[in-house]
Amino acid sequence: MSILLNKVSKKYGAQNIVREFSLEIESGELFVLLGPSGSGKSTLLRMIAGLTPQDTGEIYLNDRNVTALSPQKRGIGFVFQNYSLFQHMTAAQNIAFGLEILRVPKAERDERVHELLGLIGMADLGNRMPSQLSGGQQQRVAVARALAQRPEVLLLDEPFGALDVKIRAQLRQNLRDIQQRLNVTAILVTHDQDEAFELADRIGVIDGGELLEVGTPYQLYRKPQHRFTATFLGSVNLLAAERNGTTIHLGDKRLPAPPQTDHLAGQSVEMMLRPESVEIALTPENLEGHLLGSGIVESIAFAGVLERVAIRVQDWEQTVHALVNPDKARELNIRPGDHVYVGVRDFHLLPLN
Amino acid sequence: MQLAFPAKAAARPHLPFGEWGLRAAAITYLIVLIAIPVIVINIEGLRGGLDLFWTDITRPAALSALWLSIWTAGVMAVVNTIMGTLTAYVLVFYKFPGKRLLDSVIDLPFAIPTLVTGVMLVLLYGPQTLIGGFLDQQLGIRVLFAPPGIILALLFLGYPFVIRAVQPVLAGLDANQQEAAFTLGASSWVTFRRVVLPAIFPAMITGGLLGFARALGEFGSIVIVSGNIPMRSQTAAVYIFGQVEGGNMAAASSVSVILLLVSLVVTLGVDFIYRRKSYA
Repeated sequence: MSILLNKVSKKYGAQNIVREFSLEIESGELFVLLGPSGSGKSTLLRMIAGLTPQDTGEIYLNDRNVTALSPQKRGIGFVFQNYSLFQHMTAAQNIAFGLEILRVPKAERDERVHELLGLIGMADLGNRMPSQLSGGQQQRVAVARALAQRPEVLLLDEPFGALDVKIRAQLRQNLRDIQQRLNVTAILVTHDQDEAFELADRIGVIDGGELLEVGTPYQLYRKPQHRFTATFLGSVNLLAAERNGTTIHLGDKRLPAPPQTDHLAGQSVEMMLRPESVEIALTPENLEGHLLGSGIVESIAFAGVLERVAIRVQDWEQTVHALVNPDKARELNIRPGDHVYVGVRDFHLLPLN
Repeated sequence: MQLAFPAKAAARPHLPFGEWGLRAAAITYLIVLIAIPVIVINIEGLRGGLDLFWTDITRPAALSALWLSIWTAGVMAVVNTIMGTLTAYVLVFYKFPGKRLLDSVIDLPFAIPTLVTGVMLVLLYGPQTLIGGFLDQQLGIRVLFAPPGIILALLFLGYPFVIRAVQPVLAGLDANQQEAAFTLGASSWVTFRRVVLPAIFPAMITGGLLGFARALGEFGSIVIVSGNIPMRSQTAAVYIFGQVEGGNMAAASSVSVILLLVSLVVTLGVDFIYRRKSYA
């Protein structure tokens, strides 16, 4: 176990920022802590680093209880959103800073700095001052600086938040490569689900200072346990239903219950339909999946690779969103106001809370 | 006092007078107010030729006065640079009752007539007062009519310079930089020395130099506290005043030229520091 959090809590005044947060992270894992702003995720990261003291709970890094240790003694590397490079030092001097603190001999230091500059793809830019580097380059230097001492754990607080979309995608890949090559355990905090999906071995969803659930990106996207997870990770259609035995009752429709939902037997549930699992047809026979009902097309919008169709389903007076392949949309030749049948290829159940 | 040197030229607002008119006005103002007097005093100082100038400034009383001015101003600058930085640090990073009041009181030395400063010091440290008497009789330290009195007066009036130069820089520091240093194993002291200090150092030196330049020519408070004893407690400014009173304009001008020169060097130094600080 590389990182172990045991009931870590933090209050500011009467307000709970982080509440009894427990988590285990494996060695070499890239764990993404995903949550909206104000969910306590950055505070939690700062507590792991020792930058913010926790009120209660324990923190273990590689089986070492670091709860009472200062940030200097925790053996972590930290990357801030705003890079926070030392402005009066060159990129190379920034990276060398931690090595000087450890009194690493100059020759060895230079070699390590050279190696890290190569790792971040900035071998020729070591002599630049931070002000002469782009945001993306500065952030890469910040990552290299955090890695210089070969920390056991790398903590990244919204590291790409201040960068534009294109650079962000590039840096994610870069970070993933570096993390895997060095096999360093990392926690990355973000509110960006795309970033979480692309980087994470596992994602922890945090809201209101509580860890709601942990899982692989696929699990959390396809089979979440919480409504919050379902709605926070991508868009979703939620339909009120009943589960009786192995059958789902949705209005007058009967559908077989999806796997791994036995614990919800005999309960009021919500059917969770990802828009890309929703299908549209002009006749019920043309649906591949289960028929949900019929309705009127409200709107059709271009959504990049796919087209987003909103259908007002008559049976239960609710709008369902579908993501449709443009070819399919053309083939159907639908317009707002047209009558269509709505089906679902696969779906998931959520407890009704 | 504001020490803002914008890195980029601001967008120029369009004014009705025309660009050349505006430039001419600004440059004329500078010439009339500063350049002409500076030129005149240099001409006056050197009128009798370099020999006479040299004789004027190497007179023992003149040399002693110049040296006294420079070293007392220097001591003041060093002390105020350290204490001013400390004060700025406290003002920026700590909360305490009366902080706002203190923050506005700091500028007081700019506003108080320097003669009043002198009178205050006499009332506080004069031989008949409690503090002055104690220092003199028990510890044998003479404050008034001696260099300590001069330094005290200069400390008072040089107080705001470093604080006002360092304060905005400290306030603008990125706290994450210090935290980054902590996570890299740097102690608070190492972090201060290697991360905070380099960031505020140019502002400290600038404030110190400006205070030094201001103190060099101080007259009002010193004429009261120093006692004006030639070779002992007579500063250059007071010496010049004495020469003017005695009708010896040439000697007054010569010593003035030296003071001017020192100030010029200091001002250029401040400018140099700001130009070099390209990463700000």
